[in-house]
Amino acid sequence: MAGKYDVAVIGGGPGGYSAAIRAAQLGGRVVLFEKENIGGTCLNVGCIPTKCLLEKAALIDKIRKNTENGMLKDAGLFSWKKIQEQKASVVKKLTSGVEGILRSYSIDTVKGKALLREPRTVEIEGTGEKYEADKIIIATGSKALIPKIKGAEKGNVIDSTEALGLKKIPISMAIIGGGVIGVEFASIYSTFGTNVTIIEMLPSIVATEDRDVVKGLTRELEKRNIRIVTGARVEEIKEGSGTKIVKYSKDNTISHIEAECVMAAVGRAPNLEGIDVEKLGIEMDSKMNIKVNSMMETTAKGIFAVGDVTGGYQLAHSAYAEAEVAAENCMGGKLEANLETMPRCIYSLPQLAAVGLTEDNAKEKGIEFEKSIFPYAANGKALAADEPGGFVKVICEKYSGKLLGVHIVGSYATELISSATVAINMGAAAEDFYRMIFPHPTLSELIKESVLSVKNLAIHIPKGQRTDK
Amino acid sequence: MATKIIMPSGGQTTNESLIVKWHKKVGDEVKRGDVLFEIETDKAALEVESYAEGYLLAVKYNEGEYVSAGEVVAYVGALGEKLEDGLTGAEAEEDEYQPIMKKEDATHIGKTSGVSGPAVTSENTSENTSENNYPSKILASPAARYLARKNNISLEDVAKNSPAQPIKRIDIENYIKGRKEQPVEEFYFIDTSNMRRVIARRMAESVSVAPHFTVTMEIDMTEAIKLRQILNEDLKNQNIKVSYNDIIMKCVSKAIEEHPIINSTYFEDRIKVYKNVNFGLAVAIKGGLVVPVVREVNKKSISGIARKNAENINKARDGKLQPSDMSGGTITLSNLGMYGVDSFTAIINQPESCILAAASIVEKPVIVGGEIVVKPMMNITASFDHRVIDGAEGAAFMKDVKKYLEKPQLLLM
Ligand SMILES: Cc1cc2nc3c(=O)[nH]c(=O)nc-3n(C[C@H](O)[C@H](O)[C@H](O)COP(=O)(O)OP(=O)(O)OC[C@H]3O[C@@H](n4cnc5c(N)ncnc54)[C@H](O)[C@@H]3O)c2cc1C
Repeated sequence: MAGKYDVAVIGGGPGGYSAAIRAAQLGGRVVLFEKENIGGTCLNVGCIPTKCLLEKAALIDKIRKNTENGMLKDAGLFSWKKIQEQKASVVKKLTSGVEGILRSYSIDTVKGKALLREPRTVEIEGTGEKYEADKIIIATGSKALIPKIKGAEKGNVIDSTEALGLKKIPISMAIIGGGVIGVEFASIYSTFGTNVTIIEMLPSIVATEDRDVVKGLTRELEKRNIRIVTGARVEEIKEGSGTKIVKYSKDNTISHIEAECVMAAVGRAPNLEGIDVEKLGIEMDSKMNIKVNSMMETTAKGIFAVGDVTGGYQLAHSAYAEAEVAAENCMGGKLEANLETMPRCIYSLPQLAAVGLTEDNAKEKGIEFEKSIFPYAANGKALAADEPGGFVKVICEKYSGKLLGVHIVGSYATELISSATVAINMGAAAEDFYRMIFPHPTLSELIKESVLSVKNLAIHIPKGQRTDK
Repeated sequence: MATKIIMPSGGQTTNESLIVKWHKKVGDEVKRGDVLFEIETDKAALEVESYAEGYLLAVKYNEGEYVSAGEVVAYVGALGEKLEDGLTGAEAEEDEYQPIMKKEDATHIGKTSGVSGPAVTSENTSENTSENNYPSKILASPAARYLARKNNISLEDVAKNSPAQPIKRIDIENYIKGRKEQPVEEFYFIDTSNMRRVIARRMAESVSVAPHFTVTMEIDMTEAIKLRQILNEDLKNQNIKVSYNDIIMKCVSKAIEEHPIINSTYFEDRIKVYKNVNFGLAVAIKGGLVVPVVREVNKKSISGIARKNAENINKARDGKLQPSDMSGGTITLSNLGMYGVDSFTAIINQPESCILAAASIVEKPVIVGGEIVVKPMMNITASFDHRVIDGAEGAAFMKDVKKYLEKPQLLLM
């Protein structure tokens, strides 16, 4: 027996490391197992590296705009290699930062693949070392799904991890799947000069978000030369000469797209390697994710699960929230996770961010609501920043004025969404914004004005132009 | 670097397409989306657009030649560029620094070469070419195009007014004739799809060879409804939903055990009686009707029938049925219950000898033991081929069908 602990955490991603830290903060003796890199998907091959590339893409986009309008005489040259190097150094800085924090709490970090076959014992593959713990938190995350399409083998189709590290910017790229990851990669590569086509099976990209913002995002992406084919099912991927040919069907018609590179972004599946769910009596849901209750307990006593391995939102901040609840409950707490006001962000160019109900959600729930759409073009800072494209859509409950949903497409949408998240979490109503002061000129005024707009009280828009079409 | 223009895959039965006409000459400037050449496949004529821009540098195949899908047909690139084999593969090591504005140059049409955007070609796979979803892209033979141009006729108008695509010369001629003869049209044409033609031929054949007679039974569905509820309750977790069709199929198949002649095919000199009941279900789809078959219903449980029917219906709606899914039927069920139909007769699906037409289940007052009670009733009408089945036989069979539907417990016997 290599050691006895209060809590053993399997997986060092956002779910795992934050659970370990919280459990240690509460006085627990904690061991954390990670088979690859601390930081998991998020820090190594997910949130952070994509954002590095998107930030650079946004910069290139700005330079290009200002060269076109004549402010800059020459646009200059850029190095893809340097961009990749900077991305790697950010990842390194963050992962070693997390390692440092884990050390500071005296959390034992074990490098190796953890095998969980008995309720209270974790074994390391290869060495056979055993660790005992009262409570176990599974945070093994997820891996990219390779779509079940004829010809879609490794080598023919790349996943998001490979797409992050391409040595060379491809001339053309077909992206299968118009979800968050597909759209972000479309923005990255189209800005760096690739001819990108997104092929989505549903009638729209990011279909779970509010129709109006999705429409707005689609329009902006198309303006940036991204071709979006919806309602289309990829049937086969074939080798062309030096290219790939993607065959898809749409409305009874078969079409082909030829591209240098094909990326699949069709979703992620839970990572269950090493976890003997059957033997432990851990039940799975219909999508083969680990089933948990609101206290993040699995159906096996003393075993918790958090993050992507439980399905759900598959977001890093969702993993954080779940991990904190699981850690507190491991240490004797009785907390329930509240994931209702989960902010959802897409860091594309332009960005999309949302919190709370979409218009369709509100209708399905039979809630009587009022809504407004307030354009970026009516905001001073947006114009000063040369970012007039986009809008904020607000949905309020009719009789109480309570904020139900805020949906933004436009520059810095992902930063703006937090004030809306706070408001919705606090149960704020439109009236609560009347006398709240927002700094001028900022994009954040868009939140206040769009909320006031629901009641026709926004200042910077002509009378009667509450565009709730 | 020059971009290879590749022959798209055009047909379903052959891999080769004929180059009908080149729209560009070597040396012509080519923009993305320009039509480079026209091909004819086994099914249609197609225009092939350029997905590259620059100049047409070389043409490897001429008009009248057949080329396999995937073959390089031409090269598009910058004037003066050298062409060699394996072009796309042999790529120079890229400079570490590349111009920020490169993207803009590349998307400004015709400025630089070697940028291959996604190439898109379309091919209509639906049998019904009039269902072409790209009305703006009208398929027409070169001769038809020529004639239309000469007579100042828009192909769109011709397409709107009927013919299946590709539009042929004769269609244009008919259009011209029609324009002269019919100043005011009080009707319009829909062209017949393959499916329509098949339905038409088979139905006409059936009524002409098989003298039909029909027997209708009114059936109390109380017990069948109960059975369905119980089954669905039990099958909830297995993602199977039993429909009345599944229950009807099972009951009919049970009745056939006592009346095997119902499940047969008539020939001049003998009658072929099938040992297994392969049940076809008429499924309405866009533009027509298909009849996928559930095999060996006599050996299947109701849930097994349900699973297969559901699979068939999904395949039918997605246009994914294979010929093998639709062959080998020995009897057919058509159910128009969802349209609130009181009763109807169906035409036998040759070479079968019987088709059942199930109508809606309707609450009706019926008299039981001298009292009026309300019961869920359904009419089933069977059409029989009188060459094989006589009135009494058909009636006796239907009596048993009624028995099993009204007392489905007897299925257990
Ligand atoms: C391209 C991309 C972009 C993304 N962008 C965002 C974003 O912008 N915002 C956002 O919120 N989310 C984003 N996500 C999602 C986010 O990365 C995940 O939701 C998050 O990482 C989930 O955290 P986790 O701890 O559950 O799992 P992971 O981060 O996947 O971590 C699981 C860890 O467990 C380890 N592990 C697995 N099995 C074992 C075992 N048996 N023994 C030991 N270790 C094991 C793995 O090696 C891994 O390190 C993105 C994802 C991708 C792929």
